[in-house]
Amino acid sequence: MSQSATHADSKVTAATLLVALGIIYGDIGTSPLYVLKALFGGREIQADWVYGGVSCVFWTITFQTTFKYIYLTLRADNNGEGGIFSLYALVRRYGKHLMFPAIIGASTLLADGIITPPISVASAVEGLKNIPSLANLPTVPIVVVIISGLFFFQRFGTNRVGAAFGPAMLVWFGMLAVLGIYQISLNPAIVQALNPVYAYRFLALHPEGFLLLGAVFLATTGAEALYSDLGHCGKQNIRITWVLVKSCLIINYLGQAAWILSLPGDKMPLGMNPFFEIMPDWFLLPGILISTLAAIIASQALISGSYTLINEAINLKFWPRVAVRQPSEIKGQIYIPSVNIMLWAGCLFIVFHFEESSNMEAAYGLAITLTMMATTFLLAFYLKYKLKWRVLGVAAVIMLFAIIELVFFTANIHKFPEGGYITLIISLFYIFIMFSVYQGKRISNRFTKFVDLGAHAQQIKTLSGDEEVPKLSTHLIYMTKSNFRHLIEEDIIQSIFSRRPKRADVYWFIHIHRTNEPYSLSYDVSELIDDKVIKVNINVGFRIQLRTELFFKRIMQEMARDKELNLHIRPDGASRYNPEPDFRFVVIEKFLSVENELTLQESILLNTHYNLKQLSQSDEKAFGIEKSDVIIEYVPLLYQPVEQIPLKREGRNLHV
Amino acid sequence: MSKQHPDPSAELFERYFGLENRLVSICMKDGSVHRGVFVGFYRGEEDDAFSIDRWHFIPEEKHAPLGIGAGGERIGNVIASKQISNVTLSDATVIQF
Repeated sequence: MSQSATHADSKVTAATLLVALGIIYGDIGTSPLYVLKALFGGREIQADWVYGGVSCVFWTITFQTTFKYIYLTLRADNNGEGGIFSLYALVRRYGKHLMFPAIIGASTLLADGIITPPISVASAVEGLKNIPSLANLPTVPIVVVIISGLFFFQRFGTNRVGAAFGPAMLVWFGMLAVLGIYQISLNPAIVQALNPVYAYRFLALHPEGFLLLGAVFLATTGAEALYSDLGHCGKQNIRITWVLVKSCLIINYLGQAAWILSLPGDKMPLGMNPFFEIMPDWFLLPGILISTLAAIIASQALISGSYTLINEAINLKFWPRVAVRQPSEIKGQIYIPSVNIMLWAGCLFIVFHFEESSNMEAAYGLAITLTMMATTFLLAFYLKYKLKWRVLGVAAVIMLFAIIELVFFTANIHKFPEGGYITLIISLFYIFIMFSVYQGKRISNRFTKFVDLGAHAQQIKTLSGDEEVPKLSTHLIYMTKSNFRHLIEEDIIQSIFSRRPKRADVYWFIHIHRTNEPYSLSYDVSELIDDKVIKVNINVGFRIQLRTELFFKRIMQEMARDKELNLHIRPDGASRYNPEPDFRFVVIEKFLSVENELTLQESILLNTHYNLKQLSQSDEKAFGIEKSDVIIEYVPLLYQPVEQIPLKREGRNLHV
Repeated sequence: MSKQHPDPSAELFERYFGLENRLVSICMKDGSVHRGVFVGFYRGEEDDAFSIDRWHFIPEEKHAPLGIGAGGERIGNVIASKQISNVTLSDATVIQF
């Protein structure tokens, strides 16, 4: 997924369409591997059921994927980026508590995503059982090896193999269409299943049909991932390729249904997969290989999508700052080691716990219905405030999707005891982390005091010239949260003057501003006292890795070159004895002081926030100054200072 | 008198730090009036919408321009924006809360 960052309205060529096929449709494109197996496996085969089931699949894809995501939601692009966090960033100013649907939606998407690689790969590999000589082959070890290999190779990036994804998916969709057309030609009447009357009868006349909607829903679970990948291909490429993809998917579903109708017995045996049954014997092995390749591409899309989601969560202050690496030269491609381990462990747990894809189907889809509901909720704000739709229009569209998704959620509820509880527990874990980090940062912000730097400038100048105080460094650089030129945190002033005053020739106050533009990089400088107190704001795009030390050296060189920095020393503070520039960074880290009176809720939130901070990347690494000379100072966050200390003096001037 | 601002704390911040003479007169919602200077502030919780939640205010008679005592203790009071009725700046601008 993280192949390249392009604009949502990027150009359309044969090459970009091919790239879109490889990146966007892994998840939704591999659904035929398991949807009809989940729908009819182990169930009695009746013609109206088969027609009704396939009709429901068709209309679900039409409403949920085509109308909601391809037509409507793709319009909500944030500087070309899609996904629930991008949508949240677009609309958050219009509602006070919109972080709740955003957090719930992203958490459930991440949680359900843990099942996508196991279910896709297991469904493909289980196709080997259709080959008589391999009927008793244990598939779990093969699935474990494929998934583990996939996660292992993430650190190297996908630039070399990524180019093959598009052609591979083209072969996959071609295979879906050819297999489907052949089966439809044997029973052309199956095309009538596209008539919505069959879907209506399936649901209205058979109460059990409602419960099967949980399996029908699996056909559209990839729609949310499709929206998340908007930034990589552009909406026009997605919309054009969707026509081909949807046609191939529907043809294959109809082909599988036609084959199911031809079954001689009353029941389709549990474990029998119509997807592989419609393949001629001679094509089974290549068909399984193509399916496995498509499943790997689908898994890759999911893994990269999870990296992107967590990276966005870090920038939106929903996730602790963890290491984000760029494994290749491709712009936008990222790799997050901690997320890789977390996903790998989660996927292996799913494989070992459920063993077979048919068991995974029972757990899959419950959490993603919550993601879709959250997206629908946020979409309402987008339609009303960004697209300026009338309230009635917004209400009509949102009600339609709310009803559909509520029906699917209800139908999926029965999956809870069958395994759905696992994804919901994982979702709750993610929700807890995101909520604690977010609230912890809000509380921390609330208790950060800013002061006028100008009021202290003269005092700083005096200290700088006071030779009685030993010099700490030529350049002393503080990282500040203030984006105003004349303001800084009071903690910084206290750091300079309290205990042992920090004397330096030049005091720098650097503020890093994360911009909404993915790859912007610029800075502005304000000198409060010429060559003495300098405030620098560096604007860094949200996709760029922070390298503050590098940025600082560059800024210093440019200022010296332009004669803005006229020091009596060499501009970078280097000497004849040491060519290294002489500068020190000071990072002030907050910790939760014991001198606090907290309520239970505040205590849980703040303690979780600070414990997660301990586990996450250090500030110097996050700023990209870990190789520099860094002083770390710990300052207590006083939330609610203890007001009454029961300390009594027991006597006056006691003598032994 | 300035017109009503959607976020008066942001307006006060903007105007206040643009002035040389920073002596202000604060009329509180309880009717009391105080003269002095702001030496610091606490931002609200939101990252996007700039607002000031509380102000570190030094009464005129305290003569502590930095707001910190010799022992590092805070001098002056912390006033919440929601307690303020209006603020009169040295250029006679009145900001209604």
